[in-house]
Amino acid sequence: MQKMGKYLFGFLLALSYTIGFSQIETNPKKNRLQFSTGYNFGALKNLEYAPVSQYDYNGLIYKLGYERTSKNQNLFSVQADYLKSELKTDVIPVLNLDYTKVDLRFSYLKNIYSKNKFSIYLGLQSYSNISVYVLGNKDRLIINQSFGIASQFSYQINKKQALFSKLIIPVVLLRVTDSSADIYSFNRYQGLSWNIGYRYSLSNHFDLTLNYDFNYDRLQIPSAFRELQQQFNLGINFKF
Amino acid sequence: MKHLKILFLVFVLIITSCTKVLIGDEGELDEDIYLNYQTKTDLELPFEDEWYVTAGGRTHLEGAHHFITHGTGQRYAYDIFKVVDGSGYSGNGGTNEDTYTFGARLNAPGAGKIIAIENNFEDNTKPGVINSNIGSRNTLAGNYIIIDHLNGEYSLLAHLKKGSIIVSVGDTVTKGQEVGQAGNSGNSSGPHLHYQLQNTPNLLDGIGLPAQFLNYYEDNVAIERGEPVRGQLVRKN
Repeated sequence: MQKMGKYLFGFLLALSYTIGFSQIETNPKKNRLQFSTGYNFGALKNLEYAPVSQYDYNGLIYKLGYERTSKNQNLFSVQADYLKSELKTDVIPVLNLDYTKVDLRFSYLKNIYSKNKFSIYLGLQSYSNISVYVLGNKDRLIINQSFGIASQFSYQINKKQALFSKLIIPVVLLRVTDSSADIYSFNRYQGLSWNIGYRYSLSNHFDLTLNYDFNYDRLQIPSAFRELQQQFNLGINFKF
Repeated sequence: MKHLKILFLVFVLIITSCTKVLIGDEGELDEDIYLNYQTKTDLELPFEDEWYVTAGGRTHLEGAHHFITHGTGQRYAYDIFKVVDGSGYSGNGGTNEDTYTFGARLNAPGAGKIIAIENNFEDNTKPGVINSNIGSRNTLAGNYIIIDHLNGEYSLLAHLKKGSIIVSVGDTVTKGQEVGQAGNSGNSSGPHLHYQLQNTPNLLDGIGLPAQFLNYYEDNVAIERGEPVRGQLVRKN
């Protein structure tokens, strides 16, 4: 799997170089399809599942996204993430286990400010997530569904380059585990999702993006749960 | 370029150090218990004859309760049922009474004081069927006994047979003293004993503790001090 990721990185770079410098930018496109891959640095505490104060899990992450800009410059986006890794601890290695995460995000952001090269958006995000603790025929699942307030800014440096950042603060979380289903809000659940990125327009139809993602979730329950993910991603966008 | 390098190093330093802070140190006590805990109470297996360990052990696959499904006290809990000649039941096993476990004598695993009991919960009608009134936290254990070992350790014996408990709250018990009979009450898919050791007196709360029993047999091998694991046949003598 890791080898495949390296090839993908190479493929993305080669693709962007090949198609990038042979085309000319014309009208801005309304739709953007993105594929990206990168490296995830994760840390997890789930005392319901194991007496381990911190698991680390690193590995390649794959993202597929779609973004549409409306006539009013509002943004609708959907993004799916996939990560397969191993939860590792040096303290009690016998409790290491495989871990898979699948995420799905929908967001709708209204353009609330736009002047010169600077735009600000505000809206809502829905975030669905399934975490699988792989144990052969006894896999354990956690299903999360949260809704949060999302904001985004973008700054067009010049015709080809742009900076963008997105911040999401989840407000409510529905969490289903093997033994419970509960709803949490600010008093027991705190989270933050932040993304910052750089986009380089290669051509009329293709952009190259570099992203840093930060995701944090904390549940204040008897069996403490905390998860932190930091990711560095390289992606290519197809605009149409 | 030099500035970029410094910026990158600062960034890496920040994200590395913030991981420790954001994940926090909760769970370090759990780790210490897992690695180092030595049971204080002189415990013996709380039953007569030979029983089969269906959940017990420290790994994810051995301990069905290793993943805490109902309350933090049950991390190291055992599920055990009685066997005779390698079988858990006579007949077709379709009734509670078919099993060797239902009605089997249970003893206090260690000396202490009875601090809580529930004795009036209906047993599930047969193996594989759980009564519809199970669900709330208080009903999961069915009929149960909690023993305070007066040293910070507490034993919970759960899923006992309705009306079988012969001790009362406040009684002092000695190791090996009969306290009731195994049953099929509460969140139980068949007659068995659920036994756990924990560090608080509350039902299903606290932190689960490894329960090391003294002087018993695991698969016919004499053990001076040990923790039975899934798949073993165990008996006192």
